[in-house]
Amino acid sequence: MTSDSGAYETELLLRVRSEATRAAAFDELFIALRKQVFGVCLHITGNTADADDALQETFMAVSAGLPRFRGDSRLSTWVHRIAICAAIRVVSRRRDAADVHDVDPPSRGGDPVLASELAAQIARAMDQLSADHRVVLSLFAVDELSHAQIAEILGIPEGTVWSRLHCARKRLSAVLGSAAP
Amino acid sequence: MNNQATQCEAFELAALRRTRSALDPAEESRLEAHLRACAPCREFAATLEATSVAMSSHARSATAALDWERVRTGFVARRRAERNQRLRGLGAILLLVGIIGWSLGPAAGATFAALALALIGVGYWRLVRPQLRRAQAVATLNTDMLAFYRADLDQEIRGLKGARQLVVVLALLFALNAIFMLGHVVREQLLGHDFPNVRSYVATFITFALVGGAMWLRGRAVLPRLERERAELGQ
Repeated sequence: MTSDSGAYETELLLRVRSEATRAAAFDELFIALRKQVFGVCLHITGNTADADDALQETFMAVSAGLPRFRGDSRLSTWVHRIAICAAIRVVSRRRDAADVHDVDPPSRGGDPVLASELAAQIARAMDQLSADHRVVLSLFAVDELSHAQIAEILGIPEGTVWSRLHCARKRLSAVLGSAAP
Repeated sequence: MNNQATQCEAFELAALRRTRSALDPAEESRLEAHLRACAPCREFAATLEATSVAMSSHARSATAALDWERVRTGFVARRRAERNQRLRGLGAILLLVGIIGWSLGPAAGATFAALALALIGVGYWRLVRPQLRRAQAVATLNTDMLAFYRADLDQEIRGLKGARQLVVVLALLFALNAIFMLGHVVREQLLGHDFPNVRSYVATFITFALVGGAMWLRGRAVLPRLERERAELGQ
């Protein structure tokens, strides 16, 4: 779902409100948002197993909450907010695990070995950031989300999103710099 | 020096905005000119580019490797398990109501049943359903969602701690009452009277032990996780 999909989301919401079409609408919502939600969960949790867990928790909550969802926010905004909460909850649950970063080698773009190494470094560095910073970086790492949508998801003005992202980037660079051999 | 730092910060922000195509052509060329002249900003932009590419690429490959059908069936199974857990809870409540009703007769049974249902219902709502409650709350949110999340968790933790303190206070009161009751039984026996009717007291004690014990144990299991979740969110 992209930023210009407001009309589609409104139409989907209508189908969600009707009990007869809710199940099919939920399936459609899952297919439309699963990649974005998984991406956000992956960057917040730092590994695919936890991201998978958070993704399932997200859509469990969405499925349970859909009958009472009145459309006060956009469907995608709501789902992303639930995903952020789920991912943070999953991280806190598995905080005791020794090393949870199992970064898989990326299949596209640049040198796969170098990119994979950097992705692993980023995952470890993200783990040391505050939740505010980790969340904003994770949302910005999802290509399909515009900065306006990110501001809407976080419930803060766009200017605050940029300044929070700037602080997060500086902190990430500092952690990556200090971790470099 | 400060002027230079402020200027660089503005260009770093511009570099970030460029990643989302949020710069107009004039801003774009000002940024390009600055990057040509400023090594630290060039390094910031290069790191930004490299980390963005690595994160996107990692997300793409992890997403491509995911078995969506397994995820889909996974959360359907989890929802079913949650429903079954609720049914088991309901069964336990009905069993409790039955025991109390059998031991006390209709009027007292109904009173204790209502009390048990209210306590277990509130405990269940607070402990099992907060994720759904929070999911519903974030749908109408128009403030900083992470600030809301922190405040909501604080409230949940306070509620759980309060419930556990209430259980401790009630347990102390029950203990005191048990001492008086025991004294009463011993005195009646020493005086050669009939054994006093303690059935209602025992039924109340069993109800409290079951409900209070369940609340205490649940709190003990949930509180550390909630506190870790709160710590994860920071200040």
